[in-house]
Amino acid sequence: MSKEDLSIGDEKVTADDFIQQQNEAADIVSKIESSVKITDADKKKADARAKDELDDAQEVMNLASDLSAFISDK
Amino acid sequence: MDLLDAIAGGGFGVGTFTMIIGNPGTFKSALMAQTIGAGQKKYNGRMLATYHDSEHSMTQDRLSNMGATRPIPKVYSDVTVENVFQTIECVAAFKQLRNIIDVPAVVAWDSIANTSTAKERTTDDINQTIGLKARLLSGLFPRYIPKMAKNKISLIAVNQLREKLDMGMFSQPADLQHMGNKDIPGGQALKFNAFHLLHLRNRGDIKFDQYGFNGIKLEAHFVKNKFFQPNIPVMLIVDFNTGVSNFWSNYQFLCDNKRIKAGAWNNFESDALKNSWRTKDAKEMHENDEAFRIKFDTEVKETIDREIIVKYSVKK
Repeated sequence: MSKEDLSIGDEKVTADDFIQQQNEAADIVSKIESSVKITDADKKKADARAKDELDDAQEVMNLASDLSAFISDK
Repeated sequence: MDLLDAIAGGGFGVGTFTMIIGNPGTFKSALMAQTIGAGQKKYNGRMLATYHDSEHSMTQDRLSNMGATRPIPKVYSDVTVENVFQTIECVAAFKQLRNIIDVPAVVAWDSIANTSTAKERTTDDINQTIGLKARLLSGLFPRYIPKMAKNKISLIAVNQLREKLDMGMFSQPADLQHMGNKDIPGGQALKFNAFHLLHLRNRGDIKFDQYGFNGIKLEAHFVKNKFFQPNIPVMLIVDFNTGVSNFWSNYQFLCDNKRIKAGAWNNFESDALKNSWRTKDAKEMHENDEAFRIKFDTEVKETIDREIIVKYSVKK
């Protein structure tokens, strides 16, 4: 983007500002995408749950509470 | 909800982004909570749900009143744009970890307009963050729409309306039909990526004397709908305590389509029962009188088929 392209707007805004804003948003997006790492402890918990013999109601309650705990951990 | 399902084309799509918009007091949050409840009922509780409430307007008690009880979803009140999408990331990882991709999940976001980015919360210079939310959302949605579809995670969000600025001969063209002179905050990515965009409008009060409860009439129509034809208006009846009532919305629909003759005393137009009733007794009759219930439910099904499904379906 040339200086002329920006000339009708705020004269203090430069092409570099525009690129910086785009990069800032892209950085946040990639941080969010890489924010959740599955650990060995998570896998162990999941394996232990898979061995539980539960009725439907208990399974539903466990799924909800395990998801809440997982979100809090991350 | 029979009417809403009919105009949606079967319901909100699993693994898609749905946005509910409307002025304050149009029961957007309540409808979102009821959607979670309906999903839990449909999937017999095997559905994951989280509720992100930046407006501090939802409690677990209210979620329970709206039917989201199997189980009552956890309400997160410390909400930023970033942590809504981090939650989607968490839900996707959790489902893969547990090998339960097919279990549908709902991430409810209330509301987009009232949620800041993390930087907006901490910056001293507000000029540094102008447009950041819109830029962030335009980066996030293209990445997360496929991820949500793959992992069967639905994002249902509430958003506010704002007036369009009219600049005379330089006024913006209408980018979405059926929204009148209104726009939504948060940038264009929201409109581009919404699978369903549901607009709610208050159409007046419900009187206790007539219905036996206090509430409002809501007009609902889809501004955008990828399942079925958009812009089919239906009237929903809202009880202030329990949200949108399926029964009373259907009742109003039958009255509007002249299947129920409404007055001081009501009866079916094609009445083999030869029964009359007062409006406020209708729900109790539906619960306790089997003949009435069968007749009512048949009328609802036939009228929805005729007035919505057949009328607006593609003719082959």
